[in-house]
Amino acid sequence: MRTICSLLPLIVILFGCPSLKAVDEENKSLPLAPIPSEAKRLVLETASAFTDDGFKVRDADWSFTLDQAKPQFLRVTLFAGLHYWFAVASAGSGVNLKIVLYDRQGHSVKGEAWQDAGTHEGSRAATGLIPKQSGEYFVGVESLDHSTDVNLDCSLVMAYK
Amino acid sequence: MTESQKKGALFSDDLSIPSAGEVFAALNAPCHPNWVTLLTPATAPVTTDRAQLALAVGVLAANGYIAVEAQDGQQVKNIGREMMSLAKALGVSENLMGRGSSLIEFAEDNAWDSLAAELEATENEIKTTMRDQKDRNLIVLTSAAAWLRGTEVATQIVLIDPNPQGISVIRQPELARHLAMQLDGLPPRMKNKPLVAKVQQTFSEMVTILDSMGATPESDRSKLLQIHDAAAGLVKEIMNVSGGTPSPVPSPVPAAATMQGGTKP
Repeated sequence: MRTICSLLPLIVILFGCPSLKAVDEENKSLPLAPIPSEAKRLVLETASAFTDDGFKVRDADWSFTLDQAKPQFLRVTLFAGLHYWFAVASAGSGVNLKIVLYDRQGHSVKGEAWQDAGTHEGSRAATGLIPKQSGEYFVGVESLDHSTDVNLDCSLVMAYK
Repeated sequence: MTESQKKGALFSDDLSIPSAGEVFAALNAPCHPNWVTLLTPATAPVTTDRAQLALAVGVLAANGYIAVEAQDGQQVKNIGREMMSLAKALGVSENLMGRGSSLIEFAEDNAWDSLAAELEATENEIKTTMRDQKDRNLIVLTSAAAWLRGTEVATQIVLIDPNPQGISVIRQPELARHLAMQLDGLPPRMKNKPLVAKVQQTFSEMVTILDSMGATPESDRSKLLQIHDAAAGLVKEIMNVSGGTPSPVPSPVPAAATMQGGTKP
């Protein structure tokens, strides 16, 4: 019995553990997806509410580090007649994030704003817009808390219908 | 927002360029296109030229959205298969194994929204692998070609139904300028390939045309026709389709300028 026990690891190495082998084979056939960041996981969770409402979430995110004193901007092309939502999230809790949309001239455009009341994990905000004109717009993300000096890893996604 | 903030704003390959699906969604309400008539058979070009393969991925991705709008499941499956074979030829297919079966499954279930999402995911997966393999230049070509095919179809729709809101979807000189700049920034060994040079030149010419639009409906129609013919000719060249006229549009106004099929002396 003692000999069998001592030889067991060798037997497993030589012949393999059937169940583990099966799992390994299964994994081989699955595509290797990159592990999303925590901020991306949170923003996709936020955007899932839009999907339920018939919005299509673009299969891409904008990952960036937000310096709390300096807003970040992304160029986008939006079309009149479509309804857009932009959502941003960060893993850091209690941060007052804000999304502001600007037209081509750099003037802010009034949209529907949503901000997490602190009931969800991390920090989140979203802004919706039905543009009156098709064209280039800018999405600005800023933190309204200027007291702390920490850089925040953020992720932004957009949805349309 | 300050001028320096505008200048410093990020242009992202993934989000700053609207997906073909988004462009087509924007045309649906004002123009009510008959998507079935806009479908073209999906066949990837037989070539070993990586630049042409990358361009073809973009064209096929846009074709996929047309097939989704037309709710033609068989075409979506065909396009998915062709995209996989292109990805394999480019050596960027390792992460796509699950995508093909998802496309087939969604097509069989008539899950059109899921299909559109899966098509965008497939295109992005190819681009991500290109990025991982330090082939960022190929991403520029794929994005440009998707936009080119989207523009061909969008102009065709608007020429049939010249709705101002539809025209405004196409009239995006800033976006065309960005794509032209990206193409211009390609390394010489790629930029000097005849097909890539032609794509770059066509984009530059499109910027000029798009910038000059808005004077009269008649001149706009003529300009849309020029854009359509240039885009259609180039798409045919990318896909190695020879002969015939690009795609049927009513053409009561002759094209004023010389831009034909993306070529220029």
